[in-house]
Amino acid sequence: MKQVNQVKLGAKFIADTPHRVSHDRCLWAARMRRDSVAQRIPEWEEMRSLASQIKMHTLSHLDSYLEMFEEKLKANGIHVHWALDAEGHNRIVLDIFQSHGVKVVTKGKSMLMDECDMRPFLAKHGIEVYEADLGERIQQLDDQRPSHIVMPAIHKLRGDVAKLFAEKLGSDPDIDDPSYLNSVMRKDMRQHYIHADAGMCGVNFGIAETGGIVVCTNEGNADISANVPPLFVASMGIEKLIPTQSDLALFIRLLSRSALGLDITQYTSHYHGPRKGQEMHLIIVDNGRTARLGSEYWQVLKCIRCGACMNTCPVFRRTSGLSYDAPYMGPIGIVLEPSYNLDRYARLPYSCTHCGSCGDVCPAKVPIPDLVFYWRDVVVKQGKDQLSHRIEEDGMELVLRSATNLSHAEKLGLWALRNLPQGLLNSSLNPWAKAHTNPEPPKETFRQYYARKYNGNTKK
Amino acid sequence: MDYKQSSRDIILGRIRASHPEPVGHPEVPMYAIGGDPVKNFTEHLESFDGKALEFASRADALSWLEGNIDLSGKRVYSSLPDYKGNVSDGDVTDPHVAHIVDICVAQGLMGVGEMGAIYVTDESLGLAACALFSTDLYLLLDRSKIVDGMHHAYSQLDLRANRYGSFFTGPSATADIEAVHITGAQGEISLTALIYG
Amino acid sequence: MKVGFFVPCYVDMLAPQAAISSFELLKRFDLDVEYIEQAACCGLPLTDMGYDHKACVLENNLTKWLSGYDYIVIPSGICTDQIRNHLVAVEQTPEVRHIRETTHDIVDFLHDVLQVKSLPWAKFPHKVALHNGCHSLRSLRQARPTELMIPDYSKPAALLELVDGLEVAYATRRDECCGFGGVFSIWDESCSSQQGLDKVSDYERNGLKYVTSADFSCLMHQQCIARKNGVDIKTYYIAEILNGDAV
Repeated sequence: MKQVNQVKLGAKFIADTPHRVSHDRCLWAARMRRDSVAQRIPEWEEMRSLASQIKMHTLSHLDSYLEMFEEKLKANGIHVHWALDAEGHNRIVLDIFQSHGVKVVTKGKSMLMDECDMRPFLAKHGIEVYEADLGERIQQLDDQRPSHIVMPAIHKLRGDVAKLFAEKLGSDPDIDDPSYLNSVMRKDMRQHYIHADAGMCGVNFGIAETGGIVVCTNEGNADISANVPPLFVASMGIEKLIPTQSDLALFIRLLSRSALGLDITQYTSHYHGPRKGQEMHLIIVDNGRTARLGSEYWQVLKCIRCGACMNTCPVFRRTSGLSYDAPYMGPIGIVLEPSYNLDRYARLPYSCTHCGSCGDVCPAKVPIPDLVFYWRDVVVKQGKDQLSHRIEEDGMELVLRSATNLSHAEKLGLWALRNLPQGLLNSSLNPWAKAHTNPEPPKETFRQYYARKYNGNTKK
Repeated sequence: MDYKQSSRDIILGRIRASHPEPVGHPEVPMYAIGGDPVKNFTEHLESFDGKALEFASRADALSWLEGNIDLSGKRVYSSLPDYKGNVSDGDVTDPHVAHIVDICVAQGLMGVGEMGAIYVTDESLGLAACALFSTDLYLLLDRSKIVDGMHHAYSQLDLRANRYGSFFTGPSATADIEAVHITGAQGEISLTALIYG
Repeated sequence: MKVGFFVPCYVDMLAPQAAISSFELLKRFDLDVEYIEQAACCGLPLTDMGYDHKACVLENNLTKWLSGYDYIVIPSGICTDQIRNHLVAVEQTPEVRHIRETTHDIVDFLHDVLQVKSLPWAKFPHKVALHNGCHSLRSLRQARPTELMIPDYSKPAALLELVDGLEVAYATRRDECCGFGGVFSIWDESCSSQQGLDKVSDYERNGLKYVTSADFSCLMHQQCIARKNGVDIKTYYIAEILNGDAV
């Protein structure tokens, strides 16, 4: 299978200065807002630790909490389904829709449904799914994946959206004002809501104690999708569960502040059953999560999908989410995607400078920096790494084994720096030369300085 | 259906086979925000582009509504017992037609000082679709129902009592295009809290 | 106090002045400092590329050479982080644990172990941008990363403030990674160099001409990018300033 080459795809985005600059600025602004709202909360770091512990507690008792959750959901009149994998999930959705004669669906954001590739599957069966979140809708119309889990179209400029909406929705191509574009979306979606046979959305939290789901959104589209049609279907990964209603307070306080630097989402909605005359279904999905639970990287399941790691990641901000060519992108993506498909995503764990910022902004303390090392190790052990790496490494291991060899290598390197023509050092064989000058060769190494000055005598 | 049932058992079985070491459930303190909850509420709601008006009594709030909502030109839905709009429940029995509503008036059940959030339910809204489809949403809120922070809110609410319960914090909004903040996305375009008492 | 001075390979080869200043600075204090001639590589490139499990031979040799000291001092934040947090391929004997616990980079050693309160020989009457390398910042925790909502502190800034005439300054995005990332600068040259360019442009916008760091690798990356792009900055490894060698 062809490996996703994030570096190559990212380089294209980097070269596109207007898009790169805007993308970086928008996400950095979100990170700065996050800092300033978090700063006002004296217990912020305590809350992160508690959130992490609550997630670990839930994950280490997941079977009993899921059973409790299922029992309460059923008592609340919610139909419960369990899906082993993406295919199972999509099949369940189709069964529900076909038995209700559903043709038109409006859908709030769901990373899980993206992960399951649900939309194309339903389209094949003649069911039209309208993404109801503005960013998701933009990406749907452009036939692209979301580029960010919270801001799906953040890699686009307003002009791109104006052009797209003009083409697909017949709006004025010369008006690129975001307010206007938002009103185009509002007007267009209204007609779909009015005809929707079913509404769908993802889940931010499931509450075991109460048997309900919590959906946090800003635009109102998920609430409309849940409250208008006669059928409401939501999907959640097993890791979205938290034990109690009082635990929820902590996560609500962390989620939007981490994501966008806003105290809360405009709609923080709790569903504990179908409205009168409605049917409500919840699909609980595994799709690889139980395998993660039993692995060394199980803490990845603490993720609450806020996107803070993406906003802060220096690589993500410059390369954009599409370069990861995966449902999950950025720091959480590079430690999550290899577990879905190591062949395809073996290169992703290398799209990281090890700056560690993601680990420090994560509201649930997912140890992303450690997991990057973990996955690089797996990639190498399973022989999925790049040949160039291997050659360099095997050579290096020999060289580094002894200092004698190293001093040879050092001498060789220094000799090269001093004597090789700049043209060769600055060639394509040396990727550094594209943006850097080569370091100035020092006159002598410390080793040589020491030998000269102290002649082997280190004592004072 | 059989395969669904077995998926459940397979998933629970996989979980049991791979549980990490048990971690205890930590006690979450009732973190307080401090200050005047009503002042906090108003400031936060305004930061989310909501409006907050204060009245001495519920009667004053209702008479403000009488004086400021134009029943002749707009379609007004109200779920309040003591304020009548001109769209009745009979007009919107199917939520699909709730989009005819221009203005929605309803009771907010709780305010949260920390966020400027107002708790509403399917019951308090009458028909949630009317509030979500409206252009202007007015929520009455008893001053004494404004709590300090989220921990206080969740310790008082009974989420199971309603099939839909939501914190509305300002009108719908989006920042999906170049992160430009736009008030009024797909839900209501304006939200006004009428605080009384 | 017997102190082993470990000069990592890249410092020896490309930044001997960082090692020289650190060594001479250490010798100013009443310490028994010994240069560990045999030790060369901390193994970071192996960990970095996913070859941690193959680092055993290297680590075995390294721990042999690093044994027998009260403290190990390294003029490099990233290599210190490697020894402290990633020397894990080798068996964790009491000796190995001692090495990991007592290895410090020059900043931590001066600040935490020696608790240096004055540097009378050091003078640098300039505004200097302090760049905290990511490993020094978020692994060694030498300063508060802006992500964490904890009381502010900065060990390198505290030391720099002891230097006569020096004013500590920062880039606007003070903790933003400069993109070196070791192997990353070769693996993803385009992103790495864009990050570096953004960093040096940030200094330029703030009128900052001098840059210092406890990580020479970041400085080398930034200096080479600045030179290629005509940005006028001069970089000093932190010990060069602290020892009064920066002029």
